[in-house]
Amino acid sequence: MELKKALNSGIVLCDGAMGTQLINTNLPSGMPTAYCNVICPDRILSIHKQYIGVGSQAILTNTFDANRLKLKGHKEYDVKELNRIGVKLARQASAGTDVMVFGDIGPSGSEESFLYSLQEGKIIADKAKQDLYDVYKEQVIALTETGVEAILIETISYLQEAIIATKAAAENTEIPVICTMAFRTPPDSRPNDFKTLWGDTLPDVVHGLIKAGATGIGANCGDVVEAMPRLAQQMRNMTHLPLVFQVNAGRAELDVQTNQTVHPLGPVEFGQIISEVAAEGASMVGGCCGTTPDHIEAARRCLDC
Amino acid sequence: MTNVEQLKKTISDADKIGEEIKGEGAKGATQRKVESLITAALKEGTPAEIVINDGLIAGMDVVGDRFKKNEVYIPEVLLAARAMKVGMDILQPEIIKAGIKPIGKCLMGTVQGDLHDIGKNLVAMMLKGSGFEVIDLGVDVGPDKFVEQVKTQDVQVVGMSTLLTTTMPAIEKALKAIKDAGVLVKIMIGGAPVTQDYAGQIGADGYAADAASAVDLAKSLIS
Repeated sequence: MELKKALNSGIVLCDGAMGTQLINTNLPSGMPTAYCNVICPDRILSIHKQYIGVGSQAILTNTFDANRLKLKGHKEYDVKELNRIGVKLARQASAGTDVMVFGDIGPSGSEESFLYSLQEGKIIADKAKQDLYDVYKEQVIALTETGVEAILIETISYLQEAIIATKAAAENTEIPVICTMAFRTPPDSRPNDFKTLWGDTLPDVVHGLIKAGATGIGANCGDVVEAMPRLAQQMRNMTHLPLVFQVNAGRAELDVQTNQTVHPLGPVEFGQIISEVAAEGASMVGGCCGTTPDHIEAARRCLDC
Repeated sequence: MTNVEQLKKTISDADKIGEEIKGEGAKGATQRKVESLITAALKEGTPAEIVINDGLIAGMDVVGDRFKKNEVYIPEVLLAARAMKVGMDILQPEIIKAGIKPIGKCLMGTVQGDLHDIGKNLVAMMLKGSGFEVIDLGVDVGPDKFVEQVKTQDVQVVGMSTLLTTTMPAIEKALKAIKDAGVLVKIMIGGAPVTQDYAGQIGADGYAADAASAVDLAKSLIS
């Protein structure tokens, strides 16, 4: 189904976490999770199918870290191949359904060196921007060529990088480009003063991403779960573009007894926050870190009632 | 304002350092200013120790405080720390000449399985700025590497960092390996998912919530 058509007929529910579900696979230490596309494709397929089974209308490819910089030092598979397989697995899982596949893109991981190069005068700064643009362009093309309904850029916390990623997508594909960033909870004294983890203000984010060519914007992850509905409301006041919110299941903690990662937000509370975010005008909602098919099922029920 | 006071102000005006990267910007304007202020201060006969303590470190303390209060963010802290590092490099010959010893030696690393290093780099830079000698082992550092380095380097403090809950058990493993090796060293830990409780549970000597607190912690661990 086309994204535009889906948005016209109501709020679109995406899937939940992929990385959290992959924690128990035997991925060697330090390996990008996109390697699971090759190491354990059946596991990826089954996670996609579980989310579709509980009512996700769109699923994200397992390609969050399938960019040149994150794969550096792991030469066995190249960017093109890992992205191509990621799309194919999602397509295979959604075959025979109306479910859309979004090409997922995460941060490059080079924020610090990129920041420093911006300080080194125009020539070096321009080269660093071009290099980063090329990193994203390569992934965008690999995803688009294999066939996705939209590009979803997520979890970036530095606006300069998010703008370059969005531009690289908007200028190299015809499909919709969505960019969601990670925000911090504002201090109590300034409850609406939302900023990214790197300190970019909300108006700068909204206008910067729109100018870069985003057709949908929003927030995901970050340290801001309870404040997500307020953030959606603030964003809604600034733009008429579709808003996309992928909420995480709270701040991850380690259960020392079992050495398992636990997330405080259960499916019921998650569903509640998703309804509130949707009521504030979000057009597309889903789960981020720590969410499971149970969370998405609860969100489905809340959105349907 | 004296050169040292100006130096403190230059480092602590972290917003301005941030502004520098937004425009077309002359190459490293803040770093150049730090350079010329230090040169001028030394020419006047100001001891290197005063330049470091009342200029660079005092300026960085202000940045650390402002970061805790959500007044400045990661880019400003990184750029301020970088300007401070430029200052420390210029002062290096003076530090040697004056026989100023590092206040302690610290080993830093992101634990096995985790490739995130911005937080760890920030702590390393601020420790250096506060007079520590720092050996940075980088990311994805396994227990064996920590033990080997602790044995061969004469360090008093080991700092371990992680951003992921999934790699938190790797802190405990590395910590146990160091303790089992029987080397007398203090271990401090940090990173987004790490808490004081966790530090207590696994027997670390200390936990710090941010880079400025990590410096205070390291100082208290060696005193």
